[in-house]
Amino acid sequence: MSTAHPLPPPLGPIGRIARLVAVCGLAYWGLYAAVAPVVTIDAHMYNLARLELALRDGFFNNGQFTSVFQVIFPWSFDAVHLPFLLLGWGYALPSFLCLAGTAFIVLTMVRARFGPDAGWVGVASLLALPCLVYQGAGTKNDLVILFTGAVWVYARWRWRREGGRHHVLWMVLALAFMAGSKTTGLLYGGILALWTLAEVRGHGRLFGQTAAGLLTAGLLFGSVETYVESARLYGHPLGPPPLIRRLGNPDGLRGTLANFTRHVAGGLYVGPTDFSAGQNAPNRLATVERRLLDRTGLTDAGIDPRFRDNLLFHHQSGLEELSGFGPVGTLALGLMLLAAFWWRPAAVWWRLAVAALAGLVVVSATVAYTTWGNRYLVAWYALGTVALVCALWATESPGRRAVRWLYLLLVIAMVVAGPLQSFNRHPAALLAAVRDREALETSAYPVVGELRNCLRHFVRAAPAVRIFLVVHDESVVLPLLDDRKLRVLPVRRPVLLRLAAAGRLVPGDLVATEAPDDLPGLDLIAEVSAPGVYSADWTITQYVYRVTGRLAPASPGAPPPAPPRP
Amino acid sequence: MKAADLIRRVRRAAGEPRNLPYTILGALMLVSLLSRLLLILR
Repeated sequence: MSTAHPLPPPLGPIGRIARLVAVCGLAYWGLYAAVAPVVTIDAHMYNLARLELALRDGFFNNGQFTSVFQVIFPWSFDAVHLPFLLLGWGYALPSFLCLAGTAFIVLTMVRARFGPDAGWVGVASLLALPCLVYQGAGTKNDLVILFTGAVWVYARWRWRREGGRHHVLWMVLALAFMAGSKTTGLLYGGILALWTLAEVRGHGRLFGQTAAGLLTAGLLFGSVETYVESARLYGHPLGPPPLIRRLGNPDGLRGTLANFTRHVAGGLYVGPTDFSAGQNAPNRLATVERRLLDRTGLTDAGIDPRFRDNLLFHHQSGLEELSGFGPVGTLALGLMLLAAFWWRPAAVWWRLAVAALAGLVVVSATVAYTTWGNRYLVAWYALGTVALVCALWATESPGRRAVRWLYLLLVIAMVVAGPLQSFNRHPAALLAAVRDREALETSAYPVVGELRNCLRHFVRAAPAVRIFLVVHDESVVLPLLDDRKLRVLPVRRPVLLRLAAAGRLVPGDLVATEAPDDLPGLDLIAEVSAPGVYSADWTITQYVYRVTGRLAPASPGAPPPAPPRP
Repeated sequence: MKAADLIRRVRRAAGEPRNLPYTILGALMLVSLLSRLLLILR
């Protein structure tokens, strides 16, 4: 393996501007990650909510888990957030570190091959992808898949250039953490594990050591406990079989083709969207896509059963769940599709673009389509964007240099637009993180903030009052659990009824529920409503009841359940 | 290799700029492992 490398050329004007843009962009997102509260709905439901509940009752046999997702989804990356949950700040720093680490890898590898200008334009290009930066300043587990994949690529690259078995160790560790962080990480990690073994075959003992390392690291970091508990509770290590079918592509090849066309359509950026009527270009795009699906007999193939193609719409809304990859993403997608028809295996950009396209196909084949599924594509759009930069620097000519400047202008526009167009990651949110933190925290689901304020009002009059929060799999619970002054006990409705039948609910207890409850013995004392942020017509209401008497007759033969521990 | 030597080597390697991705990944994994152990053993 060669260890002698020529010195890179000096940074040119385009590289200096790109570096300034990249540094400013990273500084902004780093600051946001440091100060923002948890704003992601999924984190409020399960990613981070389960940490709070596990602090109360452990992981195994936890009677307070509110959602099946808290049990079945791997949690190695979610667990990283525990110190920040206890601290109350810096929740998004783990994802930001993944973003920064990925940026470093892109800079280092692209600079080594194409020079420092390309390296810095590569970094700035990543920050021009809205979905990527929103995930990089959030608390979901999608950026970690990108980062661990990037570390694997980086370690492989260094191993091939420098030698040194420790690089193979980092390839192994990256894959173990990838597999433990997300269910799709198990698939990608498995594929890359085979590739890792193929890399070290013929290296004597290293092959055996690598295999043993993959097994050991997989056991330590692969979130094995979630599979064990899922198998125990639901009979399957991935979760309840009906749920697995719902989350995965149910229609095989038809579903793959349909999902792929939906993702391609979703990658065509025709401007920002909001929820007002009369949006022409996005509506026309959705109409064309629906007609294509209809003509090919693929309508509703591959789709999550909660959605229908007659409601298909590709959002670019600034909400982290409903944002795409902008015009830079469209260019990257175009290059991926071009690579499918233009055979250039000797070109770096071609190999990256084909890999990104293959990733898109894998997601299309494995994950049921949802409107908010763009985050599953983050790693592939990042790879495609790096391919785009490599293509721009593949050869030198006056025309090519002019195109680079035009491209950089587009990148700068999107690096600036990312925060400005964001729903709750814009510059005013930085201020809100300090001055009106709770409003920012519940900005994506305002009714839970209203409910929290309402419950605090009642708790001020009776500090020891118990609050039974009736929950289901998609209940937003973390903002309530986090408030130490509220004695919130999450329960499913059947459990609440059994507690009531056993006389475990006493007059004065409060019950908070999303659905009106006509049980005798419950007195409605408050109703809080707030608009949903996903639709202008959607209002969500929470009801608060006070227990005034016995709720329901006892069920004969049913043992009384123990009340959850606060 | 003695433990002290190993720790010294790891700290020196972690301080090299080109090893930044490894340092980040190592830190995330260490915090993850400790947090999971804490929550599982409760």
